[in-house]
Amino acid sequence: MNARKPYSITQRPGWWLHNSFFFWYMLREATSLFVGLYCVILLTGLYRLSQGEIAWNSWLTSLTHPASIAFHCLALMAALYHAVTWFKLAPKIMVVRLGDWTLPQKSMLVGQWLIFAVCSISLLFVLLWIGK
Amino acid sequence: MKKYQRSHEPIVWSLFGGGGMVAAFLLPALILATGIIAPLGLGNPWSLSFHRVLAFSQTWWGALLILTIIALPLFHAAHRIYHGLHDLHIRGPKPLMLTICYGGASLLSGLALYWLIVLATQPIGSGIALRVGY
Repeated sequence: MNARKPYSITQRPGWWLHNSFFFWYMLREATSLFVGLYCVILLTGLYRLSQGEIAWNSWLTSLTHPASIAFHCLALMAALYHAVTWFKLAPKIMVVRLGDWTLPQKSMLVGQWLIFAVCSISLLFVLLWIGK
Repeated sequence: MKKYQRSHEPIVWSLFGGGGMVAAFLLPALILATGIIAPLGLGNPWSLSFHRVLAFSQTWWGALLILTIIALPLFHAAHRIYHGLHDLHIRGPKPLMLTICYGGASLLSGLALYWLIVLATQPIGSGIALRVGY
């Protein structure tokens, strides 16, 4: 018999289901699946673009499939939840100090949402409404 | 003298942080545009046209933007999936899990870079379309 009696953690795989804090934590981590999959979709688009116009157009057509639109709706919600949690975290991770003065967390939160709005509006405008 | 092994964590964490920034600031609008509004035909029909996107991908800043938007969130996702799988008790040997997650993100980023180089070396405009017999 082994003389050692190491303490073994008895955490069950479903530990995060029984506490709402842990549940939302795991949900936040799960948003990365959608982020990763969306990047793979974009990467596929890049590959199809390199193959030429026919390939590119068939990639655009594949995006009109109802399953694709449903996926993107879920991905949008995941990305927004990620943004909400990320903007809440950032002021805690990066504390901005100038001498004795500290940038209030609330102003940083508001600032991030302003940048978000500017990024989103300009991206949507450039991607969808400026063209030939 | 004891030799300390340097941690890979700062590199991995900067990629994770950068990817989190891109995912938070740019992905919601991008997903809405490319995955919902454009496929439903609500935007300008020329907006995602081949020649426009091709021309964009052939500028140095366009290529850099595409690479940033694809590669950084991939490392972000790899980091969270690596730790999330551990949290879910889906565990394997550490080198294997590291290779799957960060290796996967590196491989896909490398592919993005490769295809951007392929695009950059194509003739500007309609060159590719002619080559595939369009």
